[in-house]
Amino acid sequence: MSWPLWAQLLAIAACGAAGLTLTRSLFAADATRAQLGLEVSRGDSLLHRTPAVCKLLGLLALAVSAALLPPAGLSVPGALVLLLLVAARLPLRAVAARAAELLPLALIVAVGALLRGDPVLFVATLGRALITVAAVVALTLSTPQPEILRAARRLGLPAPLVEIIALLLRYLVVVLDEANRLALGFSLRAVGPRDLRLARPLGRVIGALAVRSLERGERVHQAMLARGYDGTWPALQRAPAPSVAAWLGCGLFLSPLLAALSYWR
Amino acid sequence: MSDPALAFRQLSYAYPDGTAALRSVSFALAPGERVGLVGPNGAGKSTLLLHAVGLLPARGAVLVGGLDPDRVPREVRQQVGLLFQNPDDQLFLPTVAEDVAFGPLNLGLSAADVEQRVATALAQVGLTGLGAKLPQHLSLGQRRRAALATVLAMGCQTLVLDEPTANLDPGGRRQLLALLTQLPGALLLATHDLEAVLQLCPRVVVLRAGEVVADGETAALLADPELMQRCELEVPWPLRR
Repeated sequence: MSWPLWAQLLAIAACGAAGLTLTRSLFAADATRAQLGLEVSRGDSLLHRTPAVCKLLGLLALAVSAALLPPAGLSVPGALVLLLLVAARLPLRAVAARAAELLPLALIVAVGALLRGDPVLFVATLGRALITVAAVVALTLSTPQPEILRAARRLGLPAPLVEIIALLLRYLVVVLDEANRLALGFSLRAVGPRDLRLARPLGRVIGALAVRSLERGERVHQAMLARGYDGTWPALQRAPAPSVAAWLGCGLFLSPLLAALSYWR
Repeated sequence: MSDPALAFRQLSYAYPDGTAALRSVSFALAPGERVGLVGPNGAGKSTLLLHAVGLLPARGAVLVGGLDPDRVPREVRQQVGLLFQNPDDQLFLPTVAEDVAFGPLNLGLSAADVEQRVATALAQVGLTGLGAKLPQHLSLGQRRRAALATVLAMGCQTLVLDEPTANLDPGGRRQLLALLTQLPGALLLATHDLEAVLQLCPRVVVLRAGEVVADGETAALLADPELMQRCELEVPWPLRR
């Protein structure tokens, strides 16, 4: 069964609108750090205390199994993630807010299945995305950023990659603040009609942000040089090796992965 | 006589677009001497500070303890620490402690030495216990102090600071000045905060349009209304009659 043309166009338009909303929310003057997943919930659950190395591996196992399992098998990783979120008493509103930010992207992918007339694949694709997003949120809400980075180093992610991610995370907040200031200055003076005529000045604002970010990059580099930087970073701290108990807990997440692997064998 | 801690000799610099930023600047800081660097916006203060650590190519000469930053930048940067105006330019690592450790690690110190230096520097700026914090979770005053800690941890004999008191609340400013008073090394303080210069530096260099227009005793120069007006500065309150 194939969809009529008008329905296809409607679906594409809906996805476009969702994408636009996402982009707008990222650049809106009131975009908060929480929306970008840059804040960590305070808590003292088992999940909060599990070493980041185990959590990162668990996330990987969940994501891979969510991608490989047949639709009927998705309930296993799904139930595991739900169990995690509830057991860690993570603020479900924050989880939902973050998932909502990421899901439009999944929708854009999933709508392809719908257009081909395969509703099961549509639901499964959304389900896979939901499981992975929820697992990512569980990790980022329960683990401070520096610990995730150290765990990544521990797991052997190449140092330059971790350094790039570290810089990205550090300056995302700074650039976002800058963008908010520019957007505020823009909206305070953009008092005329809000239509396409604003596109030109808005383009200039985005250009200004790009230039300022480039200049900042230059100053950061100078500041690094001033402290003896010679092109190589002294290693970012590495996470300590997790305990046996932590590894055993981590093994729980490998079960859906094993199931997935046995299905594809 | 020992080499000056920091000396500029006939230093000129033009930006790539041809704008002259510094014109034949010459003055020197003796070891342990504290000198204020004042002047209107665009006078060339920040550009001069970048030259002190060899971050810009020099025409003329810059000497740090007799060393040329263009030739031996590594050695020079162990002697001169530069504090940038915006702490977000200086703090680039995930946590404050990692950032403070960046310089000492670049010096090739052992892990134990680095840890010791980080603890000492954080204690000096009053941030003990905040090492694990993310820079974006600190207030501006705390970030400014953390940035200063990253410079102090280098163990430099000379500090060049760009607007260290800008945007600080009065309490934060007072703490920062108290800390700077205690530091033993030479200090070049570029700022619009003339009261701070009056309090910290017995000597001041006045820069205008890239040129040194006055160099002498702080209380005498800053009390000169004609000079202050010409350089778009103000006679600080304690010196007004």
